Amino acid sequence: MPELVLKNISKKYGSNQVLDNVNLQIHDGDFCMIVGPSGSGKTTLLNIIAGFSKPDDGEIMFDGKPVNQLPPRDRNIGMVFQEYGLFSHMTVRKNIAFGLEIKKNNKKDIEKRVTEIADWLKIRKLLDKKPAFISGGEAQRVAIGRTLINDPVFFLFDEPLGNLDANLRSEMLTEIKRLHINLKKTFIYVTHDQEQALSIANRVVIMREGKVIQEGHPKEIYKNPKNIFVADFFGIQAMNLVEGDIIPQGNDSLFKGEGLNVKLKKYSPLRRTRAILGIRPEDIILEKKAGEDGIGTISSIEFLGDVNQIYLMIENGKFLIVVTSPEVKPEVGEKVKISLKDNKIFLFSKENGGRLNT
Amino acid sequence: MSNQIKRKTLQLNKVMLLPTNVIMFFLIIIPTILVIWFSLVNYQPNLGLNFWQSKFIFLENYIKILQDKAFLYAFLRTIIISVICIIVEFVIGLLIASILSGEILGKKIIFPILIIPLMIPPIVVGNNFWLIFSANGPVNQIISNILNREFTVSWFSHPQFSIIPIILSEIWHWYPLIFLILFSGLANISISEIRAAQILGANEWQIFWRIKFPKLKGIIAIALVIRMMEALKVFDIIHLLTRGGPGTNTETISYYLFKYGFQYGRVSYISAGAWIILFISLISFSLALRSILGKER
Repeated sequence: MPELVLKNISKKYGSNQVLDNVNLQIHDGDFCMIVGPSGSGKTTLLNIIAGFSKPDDGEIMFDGKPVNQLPPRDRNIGMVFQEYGLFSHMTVRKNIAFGLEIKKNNKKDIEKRVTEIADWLKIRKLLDKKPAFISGGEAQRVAIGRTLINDPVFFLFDEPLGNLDANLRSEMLTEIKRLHINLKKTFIYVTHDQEQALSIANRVVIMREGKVIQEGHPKEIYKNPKNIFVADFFGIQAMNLVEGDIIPQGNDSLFKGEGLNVKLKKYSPLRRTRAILGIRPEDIILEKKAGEDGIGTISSIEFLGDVNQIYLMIENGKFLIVVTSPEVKPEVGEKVKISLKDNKIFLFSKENGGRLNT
Repeated sequence: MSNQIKRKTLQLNKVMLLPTNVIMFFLIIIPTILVIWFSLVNYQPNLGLNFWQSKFIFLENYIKILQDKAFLYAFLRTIIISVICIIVEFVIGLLIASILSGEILGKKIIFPILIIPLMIPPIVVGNNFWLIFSANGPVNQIISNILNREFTVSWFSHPQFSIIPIILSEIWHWYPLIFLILFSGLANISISEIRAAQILGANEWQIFWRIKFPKLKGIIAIALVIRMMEALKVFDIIHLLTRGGPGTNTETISYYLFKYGFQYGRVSYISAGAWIILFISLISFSLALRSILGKER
């Protein structure tokens, strides 16, 4: 089973530590998304896997064999670049055929394989065009087709949808997902757009400043972020963050700050400390009577089709974003009581951002 | 309305361009016409005649110069020197450009050093090579040391060897031009394309011939044409090193025209020669450019 293992990978550019002791194991058939803000080292990591740059330290193993010394051409991987990287002086046909032509294959076999791939990716009518005359989405299909011809073991995607507009992006994302289902190969996909990761990956690696912060199934990361960075970064909408104090109260403890007064039933006992409470927009319940965690004023309501997104002011200048079903229709200016779902409250240390409750 | 504005801007454009046009007229058009006229008459200032008194002799100058063996030899010699120089310069330039477009330690220091020759005036280059190749110069000394016996060729008066210092100094002086042009061409090739080729299994050689070279074709053609135009005019280095000698062994077209024009005073004769050279260059360059670039269009 081809498996990709990265062991203690470190890389420095000058005094800038781009990768800091990265350990990663990617299993056969994984759709692994590496996400992180720009500068987190995710592209460098991909370049190291591809062999374009060498790690200062650490080991890369494909299927149990170290490949540190192998040049990119001997690694049997396919890669799709953000700028497509199509050979602009060749037709689409020649672009797709390139991987076989340089190996001096039989012309007929090449032609057969090119048509096969072109049919499969629905780009047959583009075959005789030059890359300058096709659209961005088409170019990305051609780039994918070009990698397919060598039948690689791993597929690397470096922000492949970065140059496409939003509509095309979701279409291509579905296409890539289809590709993954059909090929059953390992996909490693780098992006700064965590929405993509949430929707199609079965494994997510979150990176920041050269370190792997958290990895796992996207659902797991969403449900159980390791620290405030992951909580804030990973999710379609930003998490609400409220700063305050944890005050122990007998068997329970209390979170008090910025207009909230939350009884922490599930997570006691906690010691007294400065903390940040995180709650996702869909985990805040607006109640006219029973809400006990705080009171807020509705400041605006946005109708987003299947949900309402409500801006709630809980203190001067402090807003919570609340997502409710469209049936809940408070009025602007109305005061509402709120309660937070007990088991969906995240508490992070103010000091280092680490999780306080697990 | 807009038509009126357009006409006004057009008029303004003409006014603004007028000084340039006047200067161009005096600097290019008038001398060109003069040279055409010179080439058709028998004007020779050292015979004491003013040029308006000279007689119209139609194509006689052209016929005479084409029958002059010295002219034809000078022409051939120029082509040979130019071609040798350009081939060597191209190979060196491409090699250095390829090496420097990778990640090389000390690139920022090496780069300016490499293009220094371009900035040195020909007179200095000529004097340097004259010193290097003089009878007691370093070249003879090094060869003596290698052969372990006295070696004292006088390079500039040797019938066959005298061309060598000329070719070497031309190469040294001008390879940075080709290197610079090719370097900028290589820098324009996108890194994704190179990486895509690498990951598809291409080796360095295949990447060069299948990716880099086809993309550089146009710029190579331009570099060679620019350099060829320069090489065909080679004059200063010859004037400084050999003055065309020994005999006429290192005489190029420019030197031939200079000698007949300025030393023998045969202005009409060399005007005809100059037109012939210009004509040949124009045709061959446009053919060369078309055959290299034309297919792309």
